[in-house]
Amino acid sequence: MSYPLQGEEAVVSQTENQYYDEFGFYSPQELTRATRRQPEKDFHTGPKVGEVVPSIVLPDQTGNLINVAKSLGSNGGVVVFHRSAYW
Amino acid sequence: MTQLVQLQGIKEKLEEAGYSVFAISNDPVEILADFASKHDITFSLLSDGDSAVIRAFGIMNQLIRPDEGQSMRWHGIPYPGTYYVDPNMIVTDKDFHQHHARRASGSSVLARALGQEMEVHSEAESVDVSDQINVSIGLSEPALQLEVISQLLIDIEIPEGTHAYASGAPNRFTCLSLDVDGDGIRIGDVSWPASEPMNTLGMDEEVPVYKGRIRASLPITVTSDVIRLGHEIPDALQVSVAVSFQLCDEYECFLPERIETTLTCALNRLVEPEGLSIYAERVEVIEAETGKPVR
Repeated sequence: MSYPLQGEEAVVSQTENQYYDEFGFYSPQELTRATRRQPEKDFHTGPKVGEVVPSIVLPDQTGNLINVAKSLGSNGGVVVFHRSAYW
Repeated sequence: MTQLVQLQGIKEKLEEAGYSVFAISNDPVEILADFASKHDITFSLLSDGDSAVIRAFGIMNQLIRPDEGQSMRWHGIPYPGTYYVDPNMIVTDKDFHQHHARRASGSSVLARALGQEMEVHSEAESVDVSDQINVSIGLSEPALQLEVISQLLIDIEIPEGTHAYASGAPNRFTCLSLDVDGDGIRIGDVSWPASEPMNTLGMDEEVPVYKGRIRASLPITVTSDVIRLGHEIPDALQVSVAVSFQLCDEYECFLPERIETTLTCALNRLVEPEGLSIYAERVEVIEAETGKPVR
């Protein structure tokens, strides 16, 4: 199964600095480092609009187990995936 | 992380509208507890420590090998994105970003969840450049933040009895268009509202036009250009905006016009500029306190 890219498109930025990647991100690290590797444009973005998402039962910051399906509001919810609270 | 603090800012409005909000990462519970108390986060920060849910969604970043960046759980992070689900866990909308550092701003999440038009933030500077048409330009957030996608909102009021040409009109007309530029920012494509077809007097063709008040918006993101080593990070960025248009009324067309202005956008510091080292320090402290490994 393949999922199309949704949302903002990458903008290619050309500069003289060799440590700029194709997204215009600058870092003192070489482009081959793990932190700088980027997915292809058609990377997987999970369930499509209209599909049911997998079940989510995880501990929250207080250690309580939260079942997202049972904690949704009357109209639903917003589920944000992020890389880390701190970095 | 900045995005979580912005989400906390819209949590109440989302809940009033019947939406709950969840943020998922592979951070350990202890790290989430630490961050939540430090930044007063009251919505659910869920810990997917072994990335089981991230894998079930099929959104784990597989470009990172298991042996890379273990100190910060680099392996197992998701591609960053947001799902909007209905009460039956069916996806109604979603928004994903190719780069792992990029994320949607709080007000864009709110507007997208509620299907509302964004508002210029009361704390953001806005400029009113009125000429033949009234144009005001503002920002969806009080300030820009590194790699958080905010929206530049451009409200245009076309005088009654006149119209401006929209994209798709014949070449002899100057269509309403925007040029936005600035150092250290990345600009996305402009979203225009739908135009209406109009039969112009004496011409046997339909021409797309805008009338009345319209809103154009475009994504604006501060790039890492602003944090180049050896340079001070500025407190604000200048964004230049030019609006080109041509107005006509029932009888005549006026000359094409271009109005230019500069918007000063405040630039916020990262909420955790030393995020990685704080993460590592907190892991050490928590491990010393609990005697259990966090990683």
